[in-house]
Amino acid sequence: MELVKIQRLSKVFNGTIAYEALADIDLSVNKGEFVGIMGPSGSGKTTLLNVISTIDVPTTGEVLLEGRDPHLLSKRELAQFRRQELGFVFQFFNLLSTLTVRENIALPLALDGHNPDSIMQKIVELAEKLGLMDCLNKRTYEISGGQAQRTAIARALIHRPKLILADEPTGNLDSKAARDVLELLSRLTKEQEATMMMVTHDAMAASYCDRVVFIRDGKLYNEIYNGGDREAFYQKIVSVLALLGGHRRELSANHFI
Amino acid sequence: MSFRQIILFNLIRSRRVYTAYFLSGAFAVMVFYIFSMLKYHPFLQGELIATSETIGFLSTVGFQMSQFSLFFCSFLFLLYSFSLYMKSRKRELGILLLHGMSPKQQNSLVISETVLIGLASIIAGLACGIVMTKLLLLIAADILGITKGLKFYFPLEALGLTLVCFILLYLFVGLLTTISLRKTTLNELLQTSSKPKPAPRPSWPMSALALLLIVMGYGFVFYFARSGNFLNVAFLIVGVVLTVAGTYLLYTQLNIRIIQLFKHRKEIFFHKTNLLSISEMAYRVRDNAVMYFLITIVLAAAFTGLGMCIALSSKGLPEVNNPFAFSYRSYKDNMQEQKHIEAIEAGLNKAGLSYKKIHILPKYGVINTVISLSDFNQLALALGHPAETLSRDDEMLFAPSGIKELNNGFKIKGRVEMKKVDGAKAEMKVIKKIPYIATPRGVIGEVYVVPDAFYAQFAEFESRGSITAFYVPDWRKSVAVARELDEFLGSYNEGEGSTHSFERPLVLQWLQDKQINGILLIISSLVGFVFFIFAASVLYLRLYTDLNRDREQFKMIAKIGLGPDELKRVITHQFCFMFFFPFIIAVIHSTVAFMALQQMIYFPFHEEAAAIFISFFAVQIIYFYLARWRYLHQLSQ
Repeated sequence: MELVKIQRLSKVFNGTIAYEALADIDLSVNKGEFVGIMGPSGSGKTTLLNVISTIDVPTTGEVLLEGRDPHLLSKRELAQFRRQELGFVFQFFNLLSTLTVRENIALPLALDGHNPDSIMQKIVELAEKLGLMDCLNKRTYEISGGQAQRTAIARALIHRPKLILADEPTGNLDSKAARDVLELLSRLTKEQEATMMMVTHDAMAASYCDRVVFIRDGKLYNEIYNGGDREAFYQKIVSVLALLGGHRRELSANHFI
Repeated sequence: MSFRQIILFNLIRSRRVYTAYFLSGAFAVMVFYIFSMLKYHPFLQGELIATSETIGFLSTVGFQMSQFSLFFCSFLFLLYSFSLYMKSRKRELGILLLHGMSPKQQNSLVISETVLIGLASIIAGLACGIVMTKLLLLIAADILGITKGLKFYFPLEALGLTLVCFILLYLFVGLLTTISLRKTTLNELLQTSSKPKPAPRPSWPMSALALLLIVMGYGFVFYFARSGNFLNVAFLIVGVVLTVAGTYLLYTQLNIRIIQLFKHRKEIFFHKTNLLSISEMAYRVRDNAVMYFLITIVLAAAFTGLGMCIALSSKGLPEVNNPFAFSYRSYKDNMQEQKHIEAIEAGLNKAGLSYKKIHILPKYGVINTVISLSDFNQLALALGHPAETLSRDDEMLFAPSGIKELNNGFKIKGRVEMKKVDGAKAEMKVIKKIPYIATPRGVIGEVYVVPDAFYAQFAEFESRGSITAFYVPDWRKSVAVARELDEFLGSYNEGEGSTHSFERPLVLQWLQDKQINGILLIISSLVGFVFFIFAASVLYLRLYTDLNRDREQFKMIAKIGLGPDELKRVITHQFCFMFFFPFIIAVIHSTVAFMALQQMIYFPFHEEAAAIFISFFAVQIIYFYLARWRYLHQLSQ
């Protein structure tokens, strides 16, 4: 069953020079699927994710989530939609520095007005799985990058959203922490039967996906499926990337922001 | 864990960010409360009205006006600073929205934050105000010359007024902020670096216009002062408007143009850390032009107001004007003269005050007044000055009768033609100006001291009677007797056929002036102080808003080899500009205002002006070092 359906989606940024970030994208994602989005810098990956996550609006075309277009919702309905159906994980965590780990995780439920006791119970359940029990009462500047990203994952999953959107979730982590985060993400989304879309530069990270979609210059370039063997899938991704950009190094380098 | 708790934690844990906002809010509340407390004080009202109705009126109106302007400025200031506070939390709002904060929740977040901070600052401000009430009442009683002292009272009305006004104010600020937030999109909020505002394109003609407007503004103010005619107030207004407009252009055009000029000079721009200092400054000047403009205007207003009030209150005391405690003028055919003089003497004796009585008979010409040398010497000796002599019959002395004459506000003629009784004209030579005021009140205009022989021959235009003046060394203690006599003798002053006049007793005049000046001083120093605090905290908030951006920036630059000393230098350059440039412009503006004022009031008050500038400068320097220290500390975190 399709959860996300993108039809003829285009996004043009109007500035001094108009720039077409996405051109005529068609993409479907099935329920429970873990899809990776890859492509060189500036190919439109993040823009695509932003449009799906309602952070940005499409210029033409439409995005349907379970047959509904979230861009047509009113502000109030959109807020409702975000806090019930979507979960977000970012490269720089985007945790609120004024809140503790526990409070950060509680955010979507608190905004939705849940009963505090049930919130606490859910946090404890999830924190155990993510190994966050020791730092629940710490502030965000007191924890490591890996812990921060696991906090962000907890926040993205606590309300059992249908769709999780991750933008370079491992971009700011060391390889050990990155592996942990990816394993947790893929295991927990499977457990919750959630669908996930992840933008990444990293072939290792992408090898955890069920399917990887490649974008170049705002257009779909190719897609490959995971046959079950992660090692083989990794090799396949690397060879597509080599074809796509011609330079392997360019694709695995992180952004310098 | 509920949404309310999130709001609360958010507030409690980001204390540092809104400290300035909170403190200046508390400050405004405190000063507002002090005004209301003084306004409603029953004693103050009583005694002030007793002294003079005009003072009662002036104090009520004055306190009311300043309270109103304070309130209005607080509103603008709080609105501006809250929008800065919100700007520094853009990302936070973005994250909350992303996780499904509804518009309604956003509104309640913003409004409850403003109101909570507001309540805290109201409580803090009122608490400080109440604690200081007693001290303030003591100071006010001293400044206003109220002998009985002001009783401590618990001003419920003042408390209520402050509370209601400021709660409404904070609510309104919160509402306006929610409206302004409604327009921003999520994508804008989540962007890491804030886009600097597009620069107004500076042009040479506009930059020149900035200077031209300021010069023209100064010109108009001077013209107004020179003309000495208060009816020309339109000139003053035009002058002020031109100066304000010029200052605005100065920040939006000229400054940017000058910095661009620096950028084009390769040997300056690429010299070591100048590259950083200048380009950072360009960003700041562009982005903060309006803030600099506001700070300059607010500071200039504070300096000028404070300076004028201090100058007027210290030098304007009537002692200088009139050294005699009482003066009684008796016209022709005054049957009661003896009785009245005796009444004055009896009053003074009863009060146990020593006095010297001098009786003089000035003669009045068409424009000149003459006093005989022997009459004058009586006055001079009574005041403890040496007697004067005139060696020739055609010589005379110029005796200043007021501050204007004393301070060269009046051009003394070398020779004056005078009419004699026999119709002949005599040319008299002025040989000296008396360096003090010796004439009692009522002798005004061009007063000359002439030899007794010439005095006898002087042709009088009209007779205005003799004057009996009383010199009382301890005149400050004569309040009671002055009130009595003023009531007894003062009532005949006006009208046809009056036989005598009694000048307002020195002590009452002094009290009235002291009170007027005191009220002016209280109002202006409180308002000036609050404005200064506002200006300082706008700077602080502005710095805080840019802190994250700067931190990123300097972290990056540190990577390519900017040492801590160089960082300090770059920051110092920028801070010097931010803290002292508007200050200097404000000093220039108010200096011009002082110079113009000097033309009108004839007192030199360089000292007062310098004292104001120096004390504010000292505070600004302390603030500069504190802010730089905190900022460097924050940057290195």
